[in-house]
Amino acid sequence: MSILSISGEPGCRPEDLARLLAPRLSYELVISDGLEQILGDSRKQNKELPDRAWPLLAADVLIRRAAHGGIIYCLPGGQFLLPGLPDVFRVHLVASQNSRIGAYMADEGLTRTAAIERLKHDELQQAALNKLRFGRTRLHPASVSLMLNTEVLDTPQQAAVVEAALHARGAIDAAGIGAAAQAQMLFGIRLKLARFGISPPGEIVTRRPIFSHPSEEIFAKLLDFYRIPWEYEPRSFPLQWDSEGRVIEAFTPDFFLPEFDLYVELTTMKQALVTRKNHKIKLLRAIYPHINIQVFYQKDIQDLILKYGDARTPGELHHA
Amino acid sequence: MTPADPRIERILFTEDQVNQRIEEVAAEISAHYAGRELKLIGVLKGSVFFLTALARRLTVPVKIDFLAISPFVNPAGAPGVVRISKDLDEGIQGEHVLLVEDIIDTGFTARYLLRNLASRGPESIGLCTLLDRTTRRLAQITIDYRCFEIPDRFVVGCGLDFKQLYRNLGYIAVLKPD
Repeated sequence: MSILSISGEPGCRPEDLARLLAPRLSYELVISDGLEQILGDSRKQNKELPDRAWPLLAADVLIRRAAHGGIIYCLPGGQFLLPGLPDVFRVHLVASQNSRIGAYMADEGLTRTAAIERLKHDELQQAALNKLRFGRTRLHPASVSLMLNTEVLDTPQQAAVVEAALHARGAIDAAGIGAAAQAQMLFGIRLKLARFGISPPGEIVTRRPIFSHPSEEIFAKLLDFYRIPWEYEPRSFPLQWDSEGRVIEAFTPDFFLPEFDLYVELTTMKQALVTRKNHKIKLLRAIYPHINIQVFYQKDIQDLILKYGDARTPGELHHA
Repeated sequence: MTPADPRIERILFTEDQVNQRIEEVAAEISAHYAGRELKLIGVLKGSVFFLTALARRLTVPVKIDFLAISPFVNPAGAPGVVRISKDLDEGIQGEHVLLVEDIIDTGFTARYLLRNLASRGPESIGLCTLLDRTTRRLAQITIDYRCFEIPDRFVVGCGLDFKQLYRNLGYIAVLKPD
């Protein structure tokens, strides 16, 4: 088994489950933002991306990624992606309307009345998108490997059930799909894409986080602990250009938290270097005023470590 | 007032200031929930002192309950995943719930608990905190009632601890670095 699909009704928080399972299974996580960024290249190349081509392009990306190792994907309409592919283990989350309304109240800080409206809106929007992209809105239960009620099981319990199911099937290894199978699947997908006049971009290099400082790893673990979705160094922001328009200085924040649309920069350096970094952040805020960035200094990190109980001192972390 | 403990750098809010502010916030809460029954839910252990002081000043009928969450680092030293380690004694379906925290920092704990409690079908859910340290806020949460906004310093007292000490101080104090 190398491909795990996590989907769910609005308000069931399937991304939380995907985020939790990915490190446990050593699978790569593919979520909406990351996929859209990749598909962006295709959009530029082909200008307009027909709705019906979206599932094919997404499948192309997923299968190529699965060649490198196990993947978990959690995407809008993901329950309809890669139809008929037996290697995909499909988990779908459901819950009562009352429970999902509660999720909206908590996540969005909405009143009950507003949460009901929002849920209704999202359900309609998701159904409309699925109709456009997949030509269907209803999920046939037989197409799902495992359906879980989030009202009965919280996210860690859901993860435990999925892991147990994968173990029971003897299908938890993170090996990628074979080259021959991959080639065969991609051929079929690209044949269909050709009808839309689309040639998918070349091989995609996956980037797994390799933290440049122990404090970053601790911060990532803290985010995982609270099941906060995060991306590591997903984007660089050009800050200065030479006379020919080439970027001569850029800044790459350590983390991006998509749920909060927030970049986080951790700083554990000496004061002189902090001053330099502060200057960069000031520039970043001036050039990109719409970007939200939060800076955590050594003292903040020290307090977080103290609060959350890592045994190492900030000094040890700094010199590690 | 001079703190007796040499590890305390200075007092941020005196006991009188703390009590006065809790009184004011309790009046706001009582006005908002007038005619209704309110359930205060405290997060162990930090909120105990604040919740008790707050509850005694409320004029609406009050129920209290407590929960606790698992620590970031478990006894084996490995980070786990947040979970409720001590759950509420009773359900909250159809009730007006106010989550009471000692401090909101990154907002991660409050976010998790609000989401968890909201899924249990309360009629309404609010958040009240003794201290609000906005400089480290990462999770976007709405705080309905706050007593004090504090600077980016490590503070103790009124339930907040350093290695389990100082919770019983009646005032809020800044701890010396290191």
